[in-house]
Amino acid sequence: MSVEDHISLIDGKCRYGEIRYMRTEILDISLRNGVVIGPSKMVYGGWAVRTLNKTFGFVTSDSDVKKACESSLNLSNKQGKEVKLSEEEVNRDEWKVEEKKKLADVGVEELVDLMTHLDSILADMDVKVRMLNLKLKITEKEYANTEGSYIKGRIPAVEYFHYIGIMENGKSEMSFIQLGRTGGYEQLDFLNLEDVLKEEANALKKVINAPKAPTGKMDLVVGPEVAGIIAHESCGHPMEADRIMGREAAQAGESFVKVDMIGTRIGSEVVNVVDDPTIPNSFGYYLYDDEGVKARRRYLYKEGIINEFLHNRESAGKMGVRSTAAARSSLWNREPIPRMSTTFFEPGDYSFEELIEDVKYGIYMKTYTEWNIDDVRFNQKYTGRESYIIENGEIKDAVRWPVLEITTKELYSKIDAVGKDLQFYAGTCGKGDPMQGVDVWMGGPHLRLREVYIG
Amino acid sequence: MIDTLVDFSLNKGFDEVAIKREKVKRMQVRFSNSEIDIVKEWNEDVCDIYLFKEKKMYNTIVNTQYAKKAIEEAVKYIEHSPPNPLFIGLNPEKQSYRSKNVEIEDVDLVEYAKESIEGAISKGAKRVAGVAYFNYETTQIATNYNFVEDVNSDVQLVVRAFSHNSVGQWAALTSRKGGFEPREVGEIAGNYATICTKVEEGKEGNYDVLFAPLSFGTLLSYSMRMLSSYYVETQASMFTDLVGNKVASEALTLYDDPTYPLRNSRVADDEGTATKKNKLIDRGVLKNYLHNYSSAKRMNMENTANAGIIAPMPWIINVEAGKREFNDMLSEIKKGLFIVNSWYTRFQNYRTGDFSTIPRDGVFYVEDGEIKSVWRNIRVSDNMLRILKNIVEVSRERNEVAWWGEVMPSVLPYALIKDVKITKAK
Repeated sequence: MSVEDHISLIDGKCRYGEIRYMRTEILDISLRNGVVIGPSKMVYGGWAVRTLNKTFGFVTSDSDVKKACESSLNLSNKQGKEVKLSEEEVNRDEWKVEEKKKLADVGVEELVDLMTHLDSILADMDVKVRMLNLKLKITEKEYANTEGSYIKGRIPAVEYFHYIGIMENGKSEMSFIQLGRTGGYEQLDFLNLEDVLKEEANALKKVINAPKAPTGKMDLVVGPEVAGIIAHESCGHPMEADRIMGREAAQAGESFVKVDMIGTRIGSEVVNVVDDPTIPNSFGYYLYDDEGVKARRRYLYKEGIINEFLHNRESAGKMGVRSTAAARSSLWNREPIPRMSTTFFEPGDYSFEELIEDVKYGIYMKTYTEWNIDDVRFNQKYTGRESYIIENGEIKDAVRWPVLEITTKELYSKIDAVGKDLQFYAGTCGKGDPMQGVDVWMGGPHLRLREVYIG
Repeated sequence: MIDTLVDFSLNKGFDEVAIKREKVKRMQVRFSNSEIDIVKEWNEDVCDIYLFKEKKMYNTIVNTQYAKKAIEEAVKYIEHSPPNPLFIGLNPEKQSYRSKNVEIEDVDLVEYAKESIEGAISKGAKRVAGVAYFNYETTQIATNYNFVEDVNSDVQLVVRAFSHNSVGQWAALTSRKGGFEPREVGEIAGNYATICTKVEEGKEGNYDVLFAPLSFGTLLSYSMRMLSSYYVETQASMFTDLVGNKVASEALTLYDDPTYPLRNSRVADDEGTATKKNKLIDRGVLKNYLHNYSSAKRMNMENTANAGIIAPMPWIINVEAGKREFNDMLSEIKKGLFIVNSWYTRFQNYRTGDFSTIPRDGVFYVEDGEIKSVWRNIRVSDNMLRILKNIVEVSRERNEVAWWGEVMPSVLPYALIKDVKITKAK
């Protein structure tokens, strides 16, 4: 039975209503220091009914959609704020991410062999601390609303995560990485896991006995992994319209960006940060958001100017604009709120050599370890993991833990050159209450910043 | 029904079985800009099933109605999985469980939200955001050897208040009827948002810092997870190899306490072992890690009943009270800070404990015992073991708190910590 068959239970009884059935299936293999913990499989799903009258009533049930509809209507008549949803087109469509090798056909034996092999690569390189995880994930969604939209989607994905550490001479160094793609099992080939693991282990060995990075004002070149986390934390998050208008205030916080700041300069003219759910095989891929709005690329910071926000229909209606199709629910039992998908710096036209060649003295922060940012997304910190001195246009010795602690405006204003390469890294972005961890990509090319303080 | 699932699993050829069934009714009211945004209700019935055969392990989490199908599927999955040498077995001893009372059957969360908003505004707040929760959970644990049903309920309220240039926050959690007054939670948040009108950029340096239960809870919640034997055995914990050693000052005595009536209170862990209050840090000395049956056997230590069958996890943080009142502690700070809340705690290195966290929702510069200004844009960048060792004292009063993803259910005092390193963007 389709969710659309249940719409009559709420149609005519609310100003707006939607029913979503969502089911997430994850097969998961973990290894800890060489030991296969055992396969784990989660199959988790149910109905979410959201209706709007005096306020939103949101009710979930894993067994009784009729009862959920009744309860949702009841809750929607509690006293709340006046909500005006943005006007959107009625869409009716089915979409799915293709799998060349279906995830459902992959056996546990194959996964165990792969993960054991990956672990052995690290063990052979004397990496003592090894926590590895591989997930095969299939998400199915069916959505209908009282305006006539009906969307059915299917998203298979692969995801790899590790936390590794080495110890030498009383020192320790750790790293983590998360990689993911939507699609079938064939997508693992694009993750180049063997090369990534070897590179990570070698990087730890290079820096563990390296001297502490110098401090002071200097030029900084950051790699795509660092560019990605910057784009995500201090562009994507502050451009979420619910934060801007205070709806997330008691949880993930608000934003330094205010409603009237569209058109305000935040960075140099070479800065273009976009969020795009429609990049094929990206980890945060979707063609319609969880309110049935058709997805598109959003220019968040365009030529250094604050350009457009990430909206769902609630925030867009409040601002009197159209949704930018950013509504996402991480699981069947979560409300759809504005989220990122793939957030990245658009590439420029510098080669890596060109970025480095006129740096007299500075740091190359290739990857990062610890990072954080305040709840209005203005005051942030990135600590380098694999990092090197740049001297007279050349990469020199490795250094340990350079710290970039900087405001958003300063960071984006100091970018003077953008590389032409582009790489993406996966993440699980947290927001909402209860917490919603959604799959995202973040990335970019190499970036050069002039005269920033390294601590 | 859950005990029949154990029999069903054994009939399918599994040697040992542990099933946790959680039946949840949860209500939530979210509010912002002093108005209610959404009212939510969840109704869920989920089984977390561990199946073992010849020391091979398979785990499945499913909506309960599909549990039998999932167990049938498990037969093929476990066949191709190698044995897990870390798994020694489920606790085979027959357990006896303490009895519990559930005090809260229902609450009007809309009223909670309204009263807390009024409380914050009465203290001068211009706008108020927050969340109110009511949880009612029935947890059944069944293994080959034991069965128990556990019922918990709780109410939680988080209020964040804004004045024109400052922010305050407070949170309360209780499993007792009338455990807190929603208006009072709002008033405290409102008070922190308005208590000081002078706002200035923070300054780098090392300061004595008085942490409120929320910010102290952030530090301890991350530390507590690293007390899990899972991370210790993996060597991904700052507490590795430190049992019997001083890991904190004498002012800190820390328990994991599932017997305390609060969210996460449990009579049995996930493999059916009866839970108890465990002293983990005794006047600064590390006594034990968090264990399940297998990890305790492997490490030859006492089982603390914290399964997590794969990774033992804490239930409730309970820090022993100190002797003096918060106000007396604040009044003796010569030049220091009072930090209400903190978030985005990240570790540079779990093994060494190097980390940073961002203070928020009431960050006050204190001179000669008086709040002089609100500080902006600072960060605590320090080492967690150094922080724990620099605890000067904890307060007599304690609060029952939990907040979002940062602070797990806890009973916490205020904590005065000396020489805390503060950094900021330059």
